[in-house]
Amino acid sequence: MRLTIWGAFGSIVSPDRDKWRYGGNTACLEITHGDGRLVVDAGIGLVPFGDTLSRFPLGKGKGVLHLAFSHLHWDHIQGLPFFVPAFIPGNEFHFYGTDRHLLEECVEKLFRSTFSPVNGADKLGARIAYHELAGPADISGLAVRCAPLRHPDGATAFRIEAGGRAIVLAFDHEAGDDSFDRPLRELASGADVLVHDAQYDPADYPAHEGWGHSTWRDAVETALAARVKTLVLFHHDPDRSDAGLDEFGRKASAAAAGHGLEVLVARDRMVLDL
Amino acid sequence: MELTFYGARGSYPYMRPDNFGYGGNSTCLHLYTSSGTEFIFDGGSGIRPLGASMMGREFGRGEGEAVVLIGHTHWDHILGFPYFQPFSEAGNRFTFLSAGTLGTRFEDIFTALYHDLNFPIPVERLKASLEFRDVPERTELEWKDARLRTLKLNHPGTTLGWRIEADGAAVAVCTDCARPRKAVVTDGLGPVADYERDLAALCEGVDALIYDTHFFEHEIVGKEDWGHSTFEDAVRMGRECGVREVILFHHAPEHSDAQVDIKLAMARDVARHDAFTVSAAREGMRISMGKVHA
Repeated sequence: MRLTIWGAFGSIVSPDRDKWRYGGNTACLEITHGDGRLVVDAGIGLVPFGDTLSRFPLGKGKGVLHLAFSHLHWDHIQGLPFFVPAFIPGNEFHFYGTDRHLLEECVEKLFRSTFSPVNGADKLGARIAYHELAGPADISGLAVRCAPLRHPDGATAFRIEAGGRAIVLAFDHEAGDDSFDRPLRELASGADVLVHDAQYDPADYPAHEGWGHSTWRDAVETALAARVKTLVLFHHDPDRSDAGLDEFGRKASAAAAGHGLEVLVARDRMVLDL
Repeated sequence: MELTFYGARGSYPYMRPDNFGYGGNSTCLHLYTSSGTEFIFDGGSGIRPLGASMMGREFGRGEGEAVVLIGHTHWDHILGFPYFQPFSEAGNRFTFLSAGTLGTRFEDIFTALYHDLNFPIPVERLKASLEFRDVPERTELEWKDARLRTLKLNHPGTTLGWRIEADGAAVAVCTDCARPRKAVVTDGLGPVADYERDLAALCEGVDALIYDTHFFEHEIVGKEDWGHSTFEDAVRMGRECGVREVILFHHAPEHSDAQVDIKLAMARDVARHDAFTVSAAREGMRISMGKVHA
C-alpha cells in the first residue's frame, strides 16, 4: 500500500518562499494498492498529481478515477477545474461524498461559466458518476469505512484498508468533543498510518476555537489513544513557514517519545510505502 | 503612482519550487497614487499576502479604504478573496468596480465564494463595509485623484481591460485577452477592427502596459480560443501604442522560472529596436511612475 500526499496544506494554496520544503498546495492524497487507487480530496495538489498521468490511462482517455471528498470547502475541491484528465474524453470518474446531490451541485458550480471558461461540468471530457458514501464500501479494491468529524458544516474521516494494512485520514477536524473523538479513535484503532489535522499549535488554538481544526498535540493524543504506528501531521496553516513546521515536528515527536509512535510532518509529494 | 505585483501567474496558483523567481500566486496587483488612493486589481491568490501586508497599516486598525477593480471572475482572479484579512476588520471600506460576467452581477459572484458548502464564514459576517458598483465596459470615471477607463477584452465571459491614470502617469492592465484575428471568443465584442482600434486607444502612451503573455507561439496552436496571447502580441501592442514599458504578465502555471526567463529574453530581442523596455511581472516587483506616495 502506498500513500502519496500531493497537497499537505489547508485554507488556500500558498506558494511562499519561506516554505518551499513543505510546499503550499491544498489537500489531495492518493492511496494505491496493486491496481487499486483512491484519491481523497481535490485541492490544488490534484493538479501536480494530474500532471504525472499523461503517459498513463487517465492521460489517454482510458482511465478510471475514484475520488472521495472529506468535505466541500474550497481547499478540498479547488484543484478540480485544473485537473487535466477531466478534459480528456473517455475517462470515467467516480466521486464519493456523504451527500451526492450536494457534491454534484458543487462540481457544477466549479465549472460554471461565471468561474470557468469550461462553461459547465457537462462540457468535460470525463464522465462523472456520483456516489453516496456513508457505510463500509469496497472502492477499487480498497476497503473504506467512514466516521463523521467535527468541522463547520461537517467532514468525513476515512479508514482505507488493503493487504493487511490500514491508513486513516482525519481532516478537517477539531478535537475536543467526545461524541466525535470516540468514533474517530475507534476508526483509527491500530492503523499503520493516521493522517490528522494539525493546523495549530496549542498556543494558537484559543484564538481559533470553533474554526474546525486541531493542534499537533490533539493529533498526538488521538494517535496514542488509537495505538497507531505512524502519525502524519496534516492540513498546515498557509501562514506556517518551513521553520514553524519543523518546530511542530520536533514538539510532536517529543510528546510521542517513548510510546512507540513515529511522527512525520506532511510535505507536498511525500510518499509513504507500507 | 506606485504599482506592486502580488500575483503574476495565470490559470491557477500553484506551488512548485522551480517557479519562485516569478512566483506561483495568481493575479493580484496593488496601485497607490501619490495622495494615497489605493486600488487592488483582482483577487487571485496573491491577495492573501497583499492582505497580510495591509493589516500592518491602517487596514489592521479598521481605518483603510481601497477600490477593488475586477478584470474578470474566472477562478484564478477571485479565489483569494475569502482569505483577504482586511475584509474582517470593522471600519475598513472597500468599493468593488466590476461588470460582473455574462449578466450575473459581481456581488452575487462574490457572495457565492462564501456559500456555507464551500467556506465556513458567511458573507454577512465580514465586518468591513463592502460596496458593489456595476461598471460596464467603455466606462470612463473619476475616482478621487484617478481617472479610470474600461474596455471589454477578447476572453471567454465578460472581461474588462482597465486604464488607470493618476499623478501624470498611466497604466493599462490587459489580461486575460486573445488576439482577435484568429478567434473572437467572447459574445458582443463587435467588429474586430473597432475592437483593435479601441484596445489600442486604451493602451495609448501608457507608462506601463501589463499584458497577457500566457503562451509561446508554438503553444497557442489549437488554443487560440482560450483567450490568451503571446509575448509577440504584447510587444506588438507596445509598439502600436507607443508605451514606455511592456510588462509580460499571466505566466502559464506550467512554465518554470527558466521558461519565463527565456520568454523575457525573446521578447527583449524582438523589441531590441523599440523605444520601450520589456520586463516580466514577478511577485514583489514595484514600479514607480510620475509622482509617488510619500
